[in-house]
Order: sequence, then structure tokens, then C-alpha cells
Amino acid sequence: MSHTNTERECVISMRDITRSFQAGEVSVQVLKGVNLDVFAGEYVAIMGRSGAGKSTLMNILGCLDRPTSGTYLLEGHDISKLKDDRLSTVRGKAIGFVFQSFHLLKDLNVRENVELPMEYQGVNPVERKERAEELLIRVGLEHRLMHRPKKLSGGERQRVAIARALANRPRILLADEPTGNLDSSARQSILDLFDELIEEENLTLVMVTHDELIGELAQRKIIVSDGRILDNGRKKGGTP
Amino acid sequence: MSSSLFSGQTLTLLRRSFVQFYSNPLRTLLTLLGVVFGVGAVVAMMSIGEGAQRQILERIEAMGATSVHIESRPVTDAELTSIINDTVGLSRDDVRAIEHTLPNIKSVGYRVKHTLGVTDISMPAHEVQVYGVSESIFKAHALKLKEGDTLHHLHHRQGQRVAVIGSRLAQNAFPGQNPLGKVIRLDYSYFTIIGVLEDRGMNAVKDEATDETKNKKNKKSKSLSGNEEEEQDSGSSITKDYQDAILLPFSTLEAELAPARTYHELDMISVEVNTTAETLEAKNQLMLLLSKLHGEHQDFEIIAPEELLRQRQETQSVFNAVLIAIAAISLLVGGIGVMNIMLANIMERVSEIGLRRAIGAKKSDIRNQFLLESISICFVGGVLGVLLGLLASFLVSYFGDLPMAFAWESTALAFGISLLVGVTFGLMPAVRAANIDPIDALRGE
Repeated sequence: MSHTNTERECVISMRDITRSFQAGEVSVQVLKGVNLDVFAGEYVAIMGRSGAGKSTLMNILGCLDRPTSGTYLLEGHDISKLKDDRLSTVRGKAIGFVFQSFHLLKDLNVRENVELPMEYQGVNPVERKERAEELLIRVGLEHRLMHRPKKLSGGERQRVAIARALANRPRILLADEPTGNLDSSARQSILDLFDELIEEENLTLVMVTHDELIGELAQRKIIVSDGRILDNGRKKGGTP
Repeated sequence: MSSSLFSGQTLTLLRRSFVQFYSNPLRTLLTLLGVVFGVGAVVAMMSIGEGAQRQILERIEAMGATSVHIESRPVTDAELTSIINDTVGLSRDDVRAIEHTLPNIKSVGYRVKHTLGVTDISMPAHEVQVYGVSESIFKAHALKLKEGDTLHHLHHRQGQRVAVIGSRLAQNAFPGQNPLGKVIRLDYSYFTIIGVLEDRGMNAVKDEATDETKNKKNKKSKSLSGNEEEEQDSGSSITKDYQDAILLPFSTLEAELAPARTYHELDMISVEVNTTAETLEAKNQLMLLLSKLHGEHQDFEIIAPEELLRQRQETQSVFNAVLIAIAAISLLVGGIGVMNIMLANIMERVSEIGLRRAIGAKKSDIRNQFLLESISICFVGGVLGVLLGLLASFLVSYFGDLPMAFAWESTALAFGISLLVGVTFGLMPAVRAANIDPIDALRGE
């Protein structure tokens, strides 16, 4: 693509993000001032021990949660103070989610599962169907369109989930342990698929993982510890 | 968005809202029973109510809505000895008194009834109801002729041996023949048939059916008192059809058949007034007059159709109250069942809710989805309920001998009610589903 490293668009920009939870009388601060920039086309792994605040950070990144304080610019828009409904729409359009446990709806067939995010954006049924089929061909499941998720292998299910994540043409994919439930060959093919997608679609991939190997594959490895980013993975100190 | 694609979206949503029926068919159907019974009760109530209403109106029309009828009341021997000095029963003296005393009356008709043997026509029954009638009875009882002539003034005056017969009697006695001009023998006299009465619409057909079953029963026991029995249960012989009857001029019957004098000379007097509204006033006046003439002994009964209507409506309203109570309780139980299943359903589908929220569903989308599901469940309940209600009202009308009429309004109302139940009892679970935190939901809590 035409972007050069210096001009690359910043799709995620977090400044002094904190997040506190009320646990009875006491307030527990899980995120203690996170600063993070992710650029278009980057492949970022977020790592850290359980309880370090990875999930909370991921939820805020995915607009499922709002920070207690700080600013979060997603593709240049401040979303830290958006109302719930607006946040839902932003989530549906700007971000594609991939989960460890796939989260496919068992009562819908593969194609309908992929269509689902488009339904919430009001895409008409014909377009929806075309787009879903196109995506399923892209992830190599054209022979599975009408199958129920139950009939698919773990690797196939995750491919469906990736197709679904791409449905509304988001620029950011958020993947939470996407290979955690897969055997090693399926895991490899999913990782390859991610690589291809980043390459072809200029997607930004943010992946939470425990897997050191994936951490090594990523362009950047961000280490979260005790509610702060310990290492933002930038070779030259990175942007603040 | 064009309307076609909007309907496409709606269609998908609607189709998916039936998800419960294929993922949990038995549970869903069991939950529905309350709604089914509730809606069924409403439909049954309305169909039966509508049928009864129509029957009453038809009967009133058949009775002549502007007539008041005075019927003789059977008097027991014990009573007779105590009242015989004061009253002679219903008689033509009463008719004359009414004619001379009551203002605003159009006509006064009267009749007497005898059961006689018929000896020369091939009747399924060998007994027949013979009425000696005055000229005005045709109008007062709204009798119309299918063919031939009515009994005229002259027939009465001259005591001519002519008869008008009921339509079914005509059919049974002279199948495939023209009964007009045929001669029948009653006792030792011969009568020429000059007219055949018309059937009395839908209601008459219904009565015919019940009469027939009763006649069959009675034939076995060799007694043909079916009609009288019916008089007893319906409480009124004025609604009687003249289908199996032979009508003679009053004077002819007296002269030719010379029936043994019974306590009552007449079995009925029918007074025609100008409007239906006047019937109640006329009834009161008749009550005063006749009570005086009969020495304050109630050996008669006065019936105004208007009043009859009111009585039937009262019975109906008791019946309705019971059914409304059943419907309300069933719908409440059904609604709670729906709420329960929706809550269980939501618990089972928490991760689906989380996923949907993550991929862009607003709270309102989730709420609407579950609301639509509960409405769909209730809609199916409504459909089954309408079928059940129709079946129930059919059975009730078939075995309980009540008329039923299918009321479109009842179906619409039943659907309305079931949808309302769906919304009312689906709202709380749906709102709860919408407010589930997507993060917790995705974590599977």
C-alpha cells in the first residue's frame, strides 16, 4: 500500500486510560494510565499474565467498555464518551471480533452467521448474502455455506468467525486468544489466514495471547503488567 | 432503504423469532398451554355468545317482535278445586275483554291445541298436533305460507272444513306430491288442505334437527310428546314451529271435532301491538286485566319477546363471566409461563446476547429480538387457541344443543389478546436481556 512508515495513520490512540471497578466499598484500579498507539496495517500482540489488565484493555479497545478516565481515539474519533447505542454502532462497523470460543450461533447456518453483523447495520438481504458468500470463499469455506456450526471442525469454525468479523469491512480486527481452542495444524492455518488478511486488506490486527510463539510472529509485542504497558514493542522508544 | 429490503429484514427477524420452536419444541408448547386455553376460552365464549344472540333474535323475529303472548298454564287437580269458582281458564272471554279494554292494540289472535289421530294419511307418526286458530294468529306468530292460501275470515265465519299444514308434515305425508287440494281425515271429518306453511329459516332447521332426534327417542317409547317436552325445557311454546301441525279455523275445530272441554278453552292468546317498545307496557296492562278476570289466580303466563331477550342475555352474561374468568386466569398463567420460558431462554443464550452486542447490536435490538420471540410464541398460542376455541364451541353446540356462530371479531380479538400477552409478559425478560453487560455475557456468565 501507499503508506510509508512515517505517514501511517494512527487507528488506535489511547491516552492516560484508566479503568476502575467498584468491588464493594473499595475501588480497584485495573488500568493505571495506558498510552497506546496502533497504526493501520500493524500486527500487534498483547501479552501479559492473567490479572494484568489485558482483558480490560481489550474490552476498551473493542468499545465493549468505557474507560474511567483518559481519551481513546478510534480512527480519529473520540469514543470514550459515546452513548451506549452509538458505541454499539461503532463496534459493529469499525471492529471485527474473533474469540477463543468462536461464538457462532448454533441455530444459524454458516452463511447466516456471517451475515449477522450486516443485519445490525441495515444492509439489505441480497447484499448481505453476496458479501457473506464472498467472505466464506475468501476463508476457504465455500463448500460449507449451509452447514450448521456444529458440523464444522474447530479450525473451520474459527474461519467462519473470521469471515463474520470482516463482514462490515472493519479496519481493525480484535482477536482474543483466537488459537486457544485449536490443535496445532488448525492453529497454523488460522495464523496464516491472519497474515494474508493483514497483507491483502491492510487490516490492523490486535491479538491478545498467551502464546509466546505468536508474540514472536507479531510485528509488535505489547506487554501489559499491573495495569500498565511495560513494553510497547517499539524498537526506537515509540511514540508517547 | 426501500420498502422491499425493509420487508426482507423484517422477514428474517420474524422467521428467526420462531427459533424456540425448533430448538426447544416441547418446552415451548407446554409453556403455551395457558395462552392456548385462554385464547380458546375467549373464542368459544364469543362464538357461542354470537350464536345465542342470533338464535334469540331469530326467535324473536319468528315470534313476532311486536307481540305479547298469553299462555295457559297447566293446572293440577289439587289446584283446580281451589280456583274453579273464581276462574274458567284462558277463554274467548279474555280475548273479548282484551279487545275492548286495551288501547293501542293492532290485533288479538288465539288458538287451542289438540292432539288427534290421523287415520288416512301415511304419517310417520299417527298423532298430530291440531290447532284451532283465529285469523290473526298468522300475523301474531309471523306465519307465512309457502304455497296455497291462508285461513280467511270466511273460513272462520262459516266453519269451513279447510286446513293449513306445516311444511314438514306436507313433505312427510305427501312426498313428491302437491298437498294442495288433498283431503285429510281427522276423527270422522274430512278437511281440504288449502295452504302449506313456510319453514322458518336457519333456526327452524336447527329445531327440526333436535325435534327429529327427540321424535326418534319418543317413537321407541311409543309416545309422541316430544313437542310438549320441548315446551317444558324451553319454557315457552310460542317459539314452537308449526312444521308438523295442522291448522284449522277455530270455529271449524269446535264444530267438527268437538273436543272435550278442558279447563282452558284456549292454549294461547297473542296480542299484537304497534312497536316492540310497547310490548312491555302491554304486558303490564294484560297482567292487570287478566289477573282481575281470573280472580287473581295465575293460571296463565304472559311472555313478551323483549323480556325473553333480556332473560337470555342475563343467562348469557353469567356464562360469559365464567368464561372471562377462565380466560383471564389462563392468560395470566400462560403469560407467566411465557415470561418464565423467556427468562430461561435468555439465561441459556447469554453468550449469544454478548456476541450480538459485540458485533453491533444495540440494546434495543436485543430487546426487540426477545420481545419478538415472545410475541411469536404467543402468536402460535393464539393460532392454537383459536382452533381449540372453535373446536370447543363446536362440541358445546353439538352436544350441549346450543347454537354457535363463528365470529370474525372473536378471532381478531383472540390474536390481539395473545399478542398483548406476548408483549406484556415478554417485555421484562427482553429488557433484562438487553441490559446484560456484553463483557460478562461473552465471558459466559
